[in-house]
Amino acid sequence: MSDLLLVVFDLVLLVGLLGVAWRCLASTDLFRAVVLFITFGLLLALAWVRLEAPDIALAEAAIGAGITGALLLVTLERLRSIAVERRRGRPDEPPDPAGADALLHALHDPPPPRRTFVPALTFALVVGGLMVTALWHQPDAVGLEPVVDEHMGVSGVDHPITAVLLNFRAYDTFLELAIVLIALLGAWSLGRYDRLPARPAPGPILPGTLRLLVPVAIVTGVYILWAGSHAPGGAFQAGAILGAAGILLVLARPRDLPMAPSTPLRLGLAAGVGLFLAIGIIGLFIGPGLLGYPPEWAYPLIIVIEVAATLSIALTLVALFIAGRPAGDDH
Amino acid sequence: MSETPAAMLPLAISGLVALSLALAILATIWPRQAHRIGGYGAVLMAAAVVALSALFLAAGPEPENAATRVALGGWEAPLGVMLHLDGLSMTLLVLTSVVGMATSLYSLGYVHDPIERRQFWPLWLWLWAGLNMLLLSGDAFNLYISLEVVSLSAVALVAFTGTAAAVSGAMRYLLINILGSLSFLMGVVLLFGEHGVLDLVLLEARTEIGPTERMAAVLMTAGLMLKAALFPLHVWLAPAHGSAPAPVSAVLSGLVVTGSFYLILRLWMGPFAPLATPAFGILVGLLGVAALIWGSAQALRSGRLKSIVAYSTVAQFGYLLIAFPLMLVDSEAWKVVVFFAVVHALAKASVFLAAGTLQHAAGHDRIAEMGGILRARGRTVFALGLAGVSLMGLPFTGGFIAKYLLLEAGLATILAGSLIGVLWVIAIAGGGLLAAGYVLRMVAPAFHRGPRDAGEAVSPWMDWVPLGLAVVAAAAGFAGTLTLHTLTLTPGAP
Repeated sequence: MSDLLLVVFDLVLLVGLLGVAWRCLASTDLFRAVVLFITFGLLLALAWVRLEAPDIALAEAAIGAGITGALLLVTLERLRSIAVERRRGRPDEPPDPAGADALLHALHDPPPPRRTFVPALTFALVVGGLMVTALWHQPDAVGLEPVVDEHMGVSGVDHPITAVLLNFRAYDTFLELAIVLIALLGAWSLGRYDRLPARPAPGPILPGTLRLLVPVAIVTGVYILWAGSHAPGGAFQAGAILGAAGILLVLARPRDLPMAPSTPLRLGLAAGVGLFLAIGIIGLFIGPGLLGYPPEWAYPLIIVIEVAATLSIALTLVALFIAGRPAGDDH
Repeated sequence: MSETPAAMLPLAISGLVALSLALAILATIWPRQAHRIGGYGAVLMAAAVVALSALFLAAGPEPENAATRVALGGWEAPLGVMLHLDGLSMTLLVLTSVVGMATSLYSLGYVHDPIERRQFWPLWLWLWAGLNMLLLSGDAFNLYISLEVVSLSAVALVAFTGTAAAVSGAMRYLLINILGSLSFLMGVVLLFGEHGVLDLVLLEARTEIGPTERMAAVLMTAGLMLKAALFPLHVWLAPAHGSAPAPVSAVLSGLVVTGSFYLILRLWMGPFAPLATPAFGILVGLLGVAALIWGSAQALRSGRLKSIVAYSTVAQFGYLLIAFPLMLVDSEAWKVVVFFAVVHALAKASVFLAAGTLQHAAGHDRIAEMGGILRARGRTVFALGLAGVSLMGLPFTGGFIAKYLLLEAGLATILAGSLIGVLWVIAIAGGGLLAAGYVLRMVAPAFHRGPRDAGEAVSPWMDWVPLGLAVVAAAAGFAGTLTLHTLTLTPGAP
């Protein structure tokens, strides 16, 4: 009976995923599209749970739905405020077809007729069909699970995913941290932070809620980080939760955003990659190789790296949400 | 030292990766010192690559086991990620360090605004580190992440001046790159699902021709062609490369597209080798001919200096596509292709740097109005011309040797009884003529009579570096034998 229920649940989930994805793509209202995108992320997290991949589910919910959604929403808000400002500047001129006014129109007006609909659909069907054919022929590969299981004893941790991410394939994880950092460097290179003029001061409810919510988020983040060594969790998920707490704090104090001085801030942002590489280079000389740990030191070193990575990810995500480099960075 | 070069090689490889990452991280933490970190770091990095290549050649292993593989963290494949150095990656590492050092020195003069400088150097050092990691990686998933490091920092560098043209060029470049990366990743996922390993050497041993391999080959190659701007997936290149700052254009056209091409070559010489059929080769070759004609035509029509150079990249990459059918007939031809790519990268980077100097002096890059600048700045025009001559393939330059070898491979194809070889030979020879057309368009105003006008002052770095790199590009012909010898040290190479 419960099997049947699960099948029904899976089917509903699948239909829901496809439906929400379609509605999101077809939406003519950007705000609605963003909300649908966040919904899609949450449904996708459920799908990962059903595929028995709780680590990915956590990451998808926290980063895919939560942080990305927040970034998209703040981008929309910025677009609106830019467009309003432009329009106020010169009310008589006709709108620039490629300018911010056109973007504002795109927020609500129906898009131009879909001339690309048939080619796009054909392309999607052909590629989708080929993918299905290829997947159909795939064996039930065991992947690397047996090899990983064999080496769990020397990995320093008890959770296979953490063992792969921070020990066996630490190089990949290091580069993923680097990519998050490069994204921020790219965003900072485009300009300085400027305050959103249109945002009203928050009422009493937001700060009140935050007083309750932020401590809970911090405890949850730290727990998820600590749990990573033996259960689903880890630096990326924990960093996203702490980052979300930071974003809430930013939202509650839009007028007087405390800006950290440049060097400590950059040290914090680069702490994850910096410590990771430093420990990795020590491993080159006294350990088994670049980005390797002596087995008896594996557990404490992994914890050190994870704590630094969590801090850096959280800081980077908040900085991406604020967008633009802090003024202190230019002095 | 009692240790043999072969025993020191793994440490040197890890050391190079660590050095390039450490420079990028230091520049990120101390942006105010970033130009110093970058300037000295570039010299250090070039020295490290020279030392590595000396070790590599001194190790002098048999061609069969020439790839030096380093297990990161001590975990051998399939569990861990392997670094992989062979003749092919060594050659391109040397290319990267030469162009990288030239670009760094040039940027000391070009990026002079203290605030822009703080944005530029960390991103450039990340890009350089990404390229090194891409060339040294032997693992399909790690290749994907290295590609992302390269793409993301390249996109940020295109945008960093913040002008409307730069930002929209960067946006287009970003979308193209994401599409290319996702396509590549999808192929990696398919291969992993089928074989359960990610290491390229293990994959090569397990590959058999089935629907998964075909699909993965199509997806990964299409993604990389998009990133390498190979015809017909090239439309994004000219706006992105043309609107970027000069050192960035030089790196994009010289190294980043070459990196994607390297990956295509590596995959088709490794795991996908059984999939290459003559019909497929001819199709790719025809695309190459189209690229050559179309790119050259656009370059001949364009009125802006930098977009002429950008379109010539599309045209020159046509040769690399034409070389595919040649490789299927003549198993030695791939070395010629790599040599061609190396010479092209050197010449193209030098042309872009020279164009950047002229643009800086003139304040714009409209050819029709640049006569005075071109007449007054002999040194830079000479660099432009010298690198251009190498692009055309006139005798005694690196470009000549590369084209000569390509023609030889084409003739071998005809002798092997393939009629379509005639088309390849005509295209290779004719492409040189087209190149002569657009190179002359760039330098011709220098020889007209008229007033001289040196324009704005430029720093000595911007004056001399393009010339130095152009001399290297022209002299690369003398390094032909060494390059071809290095390339024979690639496993699986005939």
